[in-house]
Amino acid sequence: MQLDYLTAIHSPMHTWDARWKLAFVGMLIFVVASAREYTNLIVLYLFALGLIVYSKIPLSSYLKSLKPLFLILIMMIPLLSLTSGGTILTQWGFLTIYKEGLHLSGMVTLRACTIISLSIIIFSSTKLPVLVQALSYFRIPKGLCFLLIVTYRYIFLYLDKVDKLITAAKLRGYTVIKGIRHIKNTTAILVTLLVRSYDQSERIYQAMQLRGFTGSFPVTQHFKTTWQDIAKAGIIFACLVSILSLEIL
Amino acid sequence: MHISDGILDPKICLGGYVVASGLCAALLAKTDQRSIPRIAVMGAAFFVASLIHFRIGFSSVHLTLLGLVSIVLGIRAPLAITVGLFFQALLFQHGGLSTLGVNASLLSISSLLIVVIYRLGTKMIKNKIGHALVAGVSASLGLVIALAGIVLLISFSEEAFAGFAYIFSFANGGLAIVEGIITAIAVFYILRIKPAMLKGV
Repeated sequence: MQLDYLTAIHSPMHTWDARWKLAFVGMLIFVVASAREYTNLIVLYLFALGLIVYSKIPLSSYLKSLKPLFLILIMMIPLLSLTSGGTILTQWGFLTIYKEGLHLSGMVTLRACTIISLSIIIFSSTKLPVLVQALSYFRIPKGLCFLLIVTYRYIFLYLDKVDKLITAAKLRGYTVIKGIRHIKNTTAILVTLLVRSYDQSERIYQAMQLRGFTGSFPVTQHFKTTWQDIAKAGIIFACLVSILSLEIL
Repeated sequence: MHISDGILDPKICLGGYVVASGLCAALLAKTDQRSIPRIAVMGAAFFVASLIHFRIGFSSVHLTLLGLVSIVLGIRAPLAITVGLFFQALLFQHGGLSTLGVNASLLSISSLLIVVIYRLGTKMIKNKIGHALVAGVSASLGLVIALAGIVLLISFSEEAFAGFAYIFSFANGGLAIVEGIITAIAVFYILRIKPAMLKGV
């Protein structure tokens, strides 16, 4: 399974200094979370879509990333529209759609889509080691940065091992993850995976120490701010200041 | 089991970040660098578990492994949970970056409760089946507590979400039972294969 293939794209967003990107897109996420006006949320979503286009993220990958959110929204929108509010918009038999419920579900949809789009932009345009290095500039403890890097490495190892174990189990006639009665077999696979990786983690750490590991990884990217980085940050800053002023006024 | 982006009040989101970072900083100060690869292994397991779905009737639930991670790592489980949630939010958009602090705080508090319940329970019971049962019950209870926290926070953030939050908690109630069974079976296997893994890091 490939997880970070979008970081290989070449776009102005991918070349943006990760520290500026993290700070300004992060601030924008909190402005979106606090926006309460419909118009502002629409503007923010269009802005986020613009950044997606600017990042050259393929539409299919973008829509695939939104899938988990859509699954929640499919359940939430009808529930909110049918249960919240006092102003009746329309009525069919015992089903009543309320104006306030519909309004609220629209707001949540816009807010969630915008925040997720911005998160996609951060991760799709920055390789994880670079992102962690940028995080360390914001005084994130060294131990947590080390944990992030090692966990990321194990995620790929796990996905690979899960694939191998499931193929082996399938060859032995095991039907994978189909119903509660297979819990015992699936758990056995999980435990095998866990015990092996647990032992391996100790060996990996010993090997790292033997190679002179002291708790921090060597710097792979030297950040250097250019005028383009500042210009990109300026555009984001202008957007968030305008939205904040509109929200306050 | 997460709170999605766009639902919570920003003040609650910020509060979540404050609690989660305080907890992580306190735990990191007490954590030896040697334990980090083990915490990372469990963090990765926590992440990968969200990709495993079980069909229950017409619906399906995805695992969290909250109970197992808590029992294996002990009080350091919140570190693995926070990192696992960070990757779930970034790579699969499960949960979200704005609600990461809240989700991490809720699951971390639940995981610490699981550790307390498991350790108290296993002090009284000495056989493997008993240990496994205590593990299963503590995992289920931990998830129920996390669900209650989610319902409370969503309802507190916006009153109109209360109905949705209750339905969400019922839908995830099945998950608490499945997780309890999985944790019990997993702990039973671990006690047979590698009991040292359950002593915490």
